[in-house]
Amino acid sequence: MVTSILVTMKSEVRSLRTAAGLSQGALAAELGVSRQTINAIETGRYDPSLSLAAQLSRYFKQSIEEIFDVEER
Amino acid sequence: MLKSVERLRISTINVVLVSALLLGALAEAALGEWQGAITFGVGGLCGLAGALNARRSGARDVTRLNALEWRDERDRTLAKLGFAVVGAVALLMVLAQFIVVVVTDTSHHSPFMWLTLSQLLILCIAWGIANSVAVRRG
Repeated sequence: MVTSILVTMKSEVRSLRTAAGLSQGALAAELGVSRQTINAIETGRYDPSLSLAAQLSRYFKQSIEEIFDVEER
Repeated sequence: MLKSVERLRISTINVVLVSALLLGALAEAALGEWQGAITFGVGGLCGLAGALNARRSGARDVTRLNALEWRDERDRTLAKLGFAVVGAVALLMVLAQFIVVVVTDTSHHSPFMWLTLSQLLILCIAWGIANSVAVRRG
C-alpha cells in the first residue's frame, strides 16, 4: 500500500485566538514570537516547531492534536 | 528588564559587524586616512541604524531577515533558507569563474586562478562540514 506523504497542516489557532479576544500581536507577545509568525501559522504558510506547538497547546489549554490537524492531500 | 531596553539589544552578529566597522573607522582616523575613516564610520552607523530599525516591534519580517535580527524560530528558518540560496549561488558562480579562468588563462599560473581554486575548495569544504553538522543535529 502506498501512503501519501503530501500533507497540509490545519490549525485552530485563529479561532482559539479570536475566542480569547486576543490580537495576533498580543498572542505573539505572550509566546515570544513575531506577529508575522502567528499570521503565518494561522494562514497555513508556516508549520511551527514541536516546542512552539507545545507552547500554543499550553497557552490555550488544548492538546496539540486539538489545535493542529494533518490533512492528506 | 524594561521592554524598551530589551528592544535596543541588537544581535551578536550585528554587534560584531558594527564594532568591526567602527574600530576600522577609528584605526583609519588614527592613521590620518579620513576617507577610509568616514567610509567605515558611515557604514558602521548605517549598520547600527538598520539593526535598531529591525528591532522595532512593528518591523516587517523581511526587514529583520535583511538586518540579521532574527526574533523567533520562523525568522531563523527563513534565514537558513535565504543563506542556503546564497551558498548555492556562490558555489555555482565560483565554479563558473574557475572554468572561465582555466579556459582563458593558458599559463595556468596566474594568482587569480589559485585564488579562484581556493575559493571553490573552501566553499566545497564548508558545504561538506555544514552537511555533516546538519545531519548530526538532524
